[in-house]
Amino acid sequence: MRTDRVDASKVEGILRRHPKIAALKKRRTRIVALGPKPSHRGEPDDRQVVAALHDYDAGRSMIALVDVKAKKVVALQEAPAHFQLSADEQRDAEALAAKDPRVRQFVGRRQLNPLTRLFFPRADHESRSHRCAIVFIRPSVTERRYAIVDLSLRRVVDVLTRHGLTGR
Amino acid sequence: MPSLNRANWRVQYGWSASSGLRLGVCEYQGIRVFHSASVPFVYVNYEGDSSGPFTDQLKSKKSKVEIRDIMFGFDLKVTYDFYGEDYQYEHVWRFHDDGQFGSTVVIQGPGEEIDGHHTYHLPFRYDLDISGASGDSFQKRRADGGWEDVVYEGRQLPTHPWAPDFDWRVIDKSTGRSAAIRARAKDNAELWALRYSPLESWGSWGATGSGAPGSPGSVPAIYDNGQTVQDTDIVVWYIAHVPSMERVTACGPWFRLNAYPRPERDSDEQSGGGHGHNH
Repeated sequence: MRTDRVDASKVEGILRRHPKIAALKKRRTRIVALGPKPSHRGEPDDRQVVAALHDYDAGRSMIALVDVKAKKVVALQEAPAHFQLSADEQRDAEALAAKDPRVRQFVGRRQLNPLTRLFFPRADHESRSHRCAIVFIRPSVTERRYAIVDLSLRRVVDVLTRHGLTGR
Repeated sequence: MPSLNRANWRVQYGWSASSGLRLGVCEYQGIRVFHSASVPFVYVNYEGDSSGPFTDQLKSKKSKVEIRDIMFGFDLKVTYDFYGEDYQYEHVWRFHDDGQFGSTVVIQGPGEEIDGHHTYHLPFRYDLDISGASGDSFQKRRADGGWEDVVYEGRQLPTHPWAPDFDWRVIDKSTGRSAAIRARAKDNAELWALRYSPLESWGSWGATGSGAPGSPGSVPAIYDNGQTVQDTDIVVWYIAHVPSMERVTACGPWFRLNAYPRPERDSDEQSGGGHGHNH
């Protein structure tokens, strides 16, 4: 099995059987990054994939090494870092931004033309400990709004002007 | 991963999900130099932390990798245009036939403001493999020009940031082979030498901290466990901190191999590349 084409749902199925993940079944968790294990000298290079999961309720990420052929989790530990937004998360963030009244008023009948990135709110922000996205709203070349989407709360928590984003 | 044989190098390369064009195993004159290299992400923040930082994934609308023959070597060049015209990066992996190599990212910008109030932080990660086993050691240059061991993992700064030299090296003491590392002027660079760990390796696929790269609690500091960087498996993270005032600018580290077999550059044919293609 080629690990660069592995199905996320298969990996998720393997992960769900692991005791630590099974214990989270009532929590909202999702695979946010999945790829072949980076090869390294002396380590097996095939069959294994690295999956990063985010637990939105607990606000933490985990990283798992999964043997897709043997259908088992080789290693699972808490990730000390934040993985980039998955395509699903970007779509979710953009959909939430598109529904926000402030964004709708700004965009009007024009296209949202969004660009979405992983975002870290300021230390004093209520969503600081949550996984967040910033959606750049670009209905024209010069006009901008920036929707801060809390992916844990599944809502837009701020819509910034350019001054609000840049301080200028 | 496809591979390319050219200018005394054998280079594996391929696209990643969010970290652009990564390199796999690279050999010079048939001898291993590094196991992998990448720029995991770009981190952008605004002066005064006016809103909060964000990261750019390095992605392209096209899968094309431009392979350019240049004097004394070749380039692998890609454009990261996923975010459109205002947030574009160009990335050049350069290799020279005498064993020099480097990675350079051109920051096109301009981003969301044009008065120089935001900063781009770019980590460049190299999993060096000079010994071909876990026998590499990290050293820094002394004021008298010699080298001294750095015992433990951690952060290093260029001796003279305004006029950088090859201030660091990773050496296999059993053979004397080494890769010396030079910061680029105006990169406001720092270098982290770490012992390889699977967690750090897995995290190199775009994982970031909430703080700027190099700051406490962010990457790569979170992988620093105070382990030795002598006679072990070493990964270096070079971090460029580029103010947007330096608009349309380039950043990235440069490397020079020492004590590898010398190329036979005794005719014009040797230096132009153009043979041994295998990609």
